[in-house]
Amino acid sequence: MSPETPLPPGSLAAGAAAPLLQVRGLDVRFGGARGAQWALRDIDLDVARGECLAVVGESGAGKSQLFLAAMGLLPANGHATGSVRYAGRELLGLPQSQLDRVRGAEIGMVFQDPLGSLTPHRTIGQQMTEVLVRHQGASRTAAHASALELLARVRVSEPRRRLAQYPGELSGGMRQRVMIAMAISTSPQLLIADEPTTALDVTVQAQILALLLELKRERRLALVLITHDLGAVAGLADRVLVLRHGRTVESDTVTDLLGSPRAAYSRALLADARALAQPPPATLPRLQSADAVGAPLPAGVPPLLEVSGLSVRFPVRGQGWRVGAPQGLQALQAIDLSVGAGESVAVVGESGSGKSTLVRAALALVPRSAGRIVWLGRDVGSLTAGELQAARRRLPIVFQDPFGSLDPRMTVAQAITEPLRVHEPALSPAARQGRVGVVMEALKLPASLAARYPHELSGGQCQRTAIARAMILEPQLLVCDEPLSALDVSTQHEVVELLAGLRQHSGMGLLFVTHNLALARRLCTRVLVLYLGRMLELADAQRLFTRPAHPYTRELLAAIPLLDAVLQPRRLAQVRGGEVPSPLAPPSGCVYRTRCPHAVERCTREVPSWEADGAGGLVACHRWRELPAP
Amino acid sequence: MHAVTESAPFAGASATAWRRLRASRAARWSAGILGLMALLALAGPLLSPWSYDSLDWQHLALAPGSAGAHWLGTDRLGRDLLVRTLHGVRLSLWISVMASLVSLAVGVAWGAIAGFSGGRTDGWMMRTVDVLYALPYLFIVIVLGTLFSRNSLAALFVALGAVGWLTTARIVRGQAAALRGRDFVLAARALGLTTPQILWRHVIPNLLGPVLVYMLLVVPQMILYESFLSFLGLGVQEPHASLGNLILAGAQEMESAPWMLLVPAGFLVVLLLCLNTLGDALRDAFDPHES
Amino acid sequence: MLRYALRRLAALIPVLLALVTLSFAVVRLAPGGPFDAVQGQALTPQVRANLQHFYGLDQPLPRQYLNYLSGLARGDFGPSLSQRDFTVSELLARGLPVSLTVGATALLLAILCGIPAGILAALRRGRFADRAVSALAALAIALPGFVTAPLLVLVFALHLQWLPAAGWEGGSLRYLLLPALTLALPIAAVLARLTRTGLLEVLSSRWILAARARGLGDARVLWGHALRPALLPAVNYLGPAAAFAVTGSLVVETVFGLPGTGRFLVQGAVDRDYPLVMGMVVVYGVVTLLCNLAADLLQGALDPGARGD
Repeated sequence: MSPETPLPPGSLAAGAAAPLLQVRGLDVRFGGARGAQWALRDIDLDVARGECLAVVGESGAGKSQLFLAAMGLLPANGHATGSVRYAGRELLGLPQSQLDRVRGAEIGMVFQDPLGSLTPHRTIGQQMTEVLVRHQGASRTAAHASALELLARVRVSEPRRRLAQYPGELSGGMRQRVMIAMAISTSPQLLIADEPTTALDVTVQAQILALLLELKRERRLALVLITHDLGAVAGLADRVLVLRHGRTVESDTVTDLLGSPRAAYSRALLADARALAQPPPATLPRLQSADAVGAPLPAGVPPLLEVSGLSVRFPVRGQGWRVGAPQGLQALQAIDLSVGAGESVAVVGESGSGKSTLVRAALALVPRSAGRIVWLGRDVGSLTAGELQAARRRLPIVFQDPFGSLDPRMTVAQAITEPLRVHEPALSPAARQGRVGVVMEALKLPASLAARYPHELSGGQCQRTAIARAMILEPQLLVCDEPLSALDVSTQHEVVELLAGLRQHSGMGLLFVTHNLALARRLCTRVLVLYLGRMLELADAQRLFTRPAHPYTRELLAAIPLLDAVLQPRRLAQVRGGEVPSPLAPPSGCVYRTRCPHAVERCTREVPSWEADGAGGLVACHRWRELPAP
Repeated sequence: MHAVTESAPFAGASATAWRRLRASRAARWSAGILGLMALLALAGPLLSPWSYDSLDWQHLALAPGSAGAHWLGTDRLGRDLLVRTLHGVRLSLWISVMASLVSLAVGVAWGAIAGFSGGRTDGWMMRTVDVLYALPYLFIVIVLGTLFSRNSLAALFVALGAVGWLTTARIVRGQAAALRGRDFVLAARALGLTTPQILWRHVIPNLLGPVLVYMLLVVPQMILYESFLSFLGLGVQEPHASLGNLILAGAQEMESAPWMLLVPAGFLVVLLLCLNTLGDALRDAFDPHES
Repeated sequence: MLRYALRRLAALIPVLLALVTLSFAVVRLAPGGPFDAVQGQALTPQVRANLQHFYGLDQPLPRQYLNYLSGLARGDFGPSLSQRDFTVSELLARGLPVSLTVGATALLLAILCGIPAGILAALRRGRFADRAVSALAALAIALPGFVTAPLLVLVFALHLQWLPAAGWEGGSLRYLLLPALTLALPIAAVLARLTRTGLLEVLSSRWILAARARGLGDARVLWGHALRPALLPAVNYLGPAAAFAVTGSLVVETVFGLPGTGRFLVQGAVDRDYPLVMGMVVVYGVVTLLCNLAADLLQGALDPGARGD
């Protein structure tokens, strides 16, 4: 497959002694000798001390299996052959008792999904001390003291309290810090991080990567980063191994890979990643000029969707052993937003920002506690149930989970036809067939898929079916709730192009919810930034991305990784910490102040009001005028 | 590539389950034995020269295999044990299937309404089930069985159905509540479908599979309860035979005529074993956890 | 924790009230009465009226219901109508210790056999031990008590003559063993199955992989990380299992001739001995509810950290 000679010496490893980890001819298969499925074929790699090797590939490439095999952690039906040498010692075939002296002691591992990777019924302290007692023979008191020190080192807030807490009580970012603290507690020389940032918010992703970079430099750690995210690679890696379908596609230094990738597959991966991160090509018509943002729309053309003062409150009851009065969770607080004809608006924010709740409440799928909703000039509150149902056809929604949003018992054709059966029951079967065919073609769904069920489709095909189901009614506004976050990068790129094309073709409006700012820039002309259910900034996309006014928007932008192996590590080194507070107890005054580097005393007292930014946008910050230019 | 042509309700995801089920050796064997037993229970008594209550005065308490005419022996009154046991299997199967239907009808309606309405209705309906669940329910059934009717099968259905519906209601409610939260149901609502349309087009078809599977697990439960009541002398009465009262009679004679216990007990155990195995296999095949 | 338990305990009172009301209604709405016949002989209307008046059965039903409730509140179950020398409390006090001993022994036996068998099966998945445990469990679940009990008697008492066929003798182990075994078998089988599936599911979880990646060793991973959550389904089943042991005592006491309370239920219902039937339902209801509550509390104690989602 790969045209390269076996592994060019890494730039940092050159001249050094034997690599710390050396893998040669590693094969991994699942199942018996007959009918075996090969997960990996003939893998070679080296990792030297103080060096970071990134292993990159899309889902199913076998990148996680590679290191599970190396550590003897494959499931019972997995078999590994070849050679894995750690510090000169062969790991494959080592008896488990000896492997257990290496795992956790000399090689630390950090997994994706930190909630699932911590034992739920044991406290953080119990789990951390256990490792120290086992591998270093430390006394309980000593172990407790080092655990405390380690938590402080990975910058977990209130470390003493955390030790007594259960994993379920910590936030995602904090759990990942705990995992890292545990993995480095025995001072291993090699740290394997398997998708360490995947389920996390963008700002937290940057924080975790920054921490890994720091530890690598400080301890001369050999680091293996398993990821599908080229942004993480740019920030951390020295060398990169690209895998596809279990084989090595390319092995290169990070500068070469990001600068001039040799294999076609690497080039495609990089192209997809770059395309997603870039602003839209100039050919896309700008239907809304920058100075019209926030200004009243021309009379006579009602906006597609308009919400004012929209608030949503969820009742929250005390759970489990805690007995308490029911609390309310303020998911959204007084949101004003309108989407004009043909306009595309992005709602961005991290988890808990209320972005999904906003679109669901705006479509009257979630009950609101206050506020007015207007669809196409008609107040939703005044519609009868029948009118409401009829009006929904103009504002369909596409959800995040590609498999969950399709009825498992309906074929692709049945799913796409359903809205027609409901809203245009008089249509003849032939006419219906014809409309389905047109929509499927527009979404590049081959006709051969018409009779398939969702479980027989790929994620991208499911998502395109869901979009086709929404498009068949010729909507005026398409609402998308994180439609891409469950997809691989190349599929994401494909769907984004489709959406952009559909919009251009039909002139429909788009309301696009995402946590990914780059996507928002790619698809939308206006962006609303939400944080803890409050609006912080609403502005034209171009202005927002070039001159962000709100400190939070700046933090979000700084967290978008650059695919540049020189700049990205420097940017990572400047990442600030901070966690999103619990939405059950939002901070007083400005909700962002607990993380804001510019917060002053006034921010704790006064809720900032909307201020016009002079370019048609709005900002909710006391100090945005005084802040230095980004 | 177009492998899926089967019609509802075994379409789509269920086709995979069906394949998985057919691949299970235990399930195939159980289904075969069950089919054979059902056939025997239906046709056997017709083919035999004896009926369940005909007396053979020449052969009282005959051990199996000792005379050609009675393959599995006779009881103290000279009645053919094989015919009586098959009669019992038929009666037990019939009663338990009917009782399962009663419990399913009540349980599915209760659970589906509670699960799909959610909120306060759901809370009250399920709290009622919880309360009833916590009671020694079989006691009430025994009391019911004793107090009303010692000879009416209808009362037996009702009594047994009254035990069975609680679990059904819980399971169906869980399924319906889970469906209510699924994105495709929300998507249907966002596309403008009315609640009855959503129920009819999306919820009920998706409930059907699990309910059918569950039905197969209720039947052995009902057989067990029925024979339990009959064993206590509260269910099917002489001269009619059910597996329960045959075992009761056998237990009383086991010192002198152990086959009177062993024959109906053997049939009961094999019947339950096969039904349980098939039900478990079916449930596993439909379980999305297993892959 | 204590406050929570007390609160849950208090919540049982309405449930119990519902139980009493429901069973009172069922028992009293049934046709026939306690004095239709005594020892097979029909009573004269005069005698019957006197008896009914003596026991207060001639009062309107709601009145009788309130009388019964107020008696119950004082712990008085009333007189037995069929065994007229005894009160229901006396009858229960004699029989209950026997039934509870058998039930508790069975439960203990089931836990001691079922859970280790389930753990063994999960750890040896797909191998002989697993298949043996699974097959035995399937068989034991298909063996109802009224089949097991006579079979055990046939084999161990009549053929091998190791153990007595019937009797109690103050609850000595020889007499206790077969009844307890009968009740324990299906419970042990269910516990083994639940433990096996529970442990297999936990062992395939990511946090177990992470614990193994920390080099903690198999024993430590099993005892420290896997077992507690894996036992949750089994613990959850202990409530219904206790109820099952209690209900099953009906059969066991009949077959093994034990002087427990089981026979009171059927006999009391046949004789229309209202207070006796009610007393049985109430006592067994309380036992069942308490068992369920205990299982619930135990589960909560095992699972303190699983609050987040």
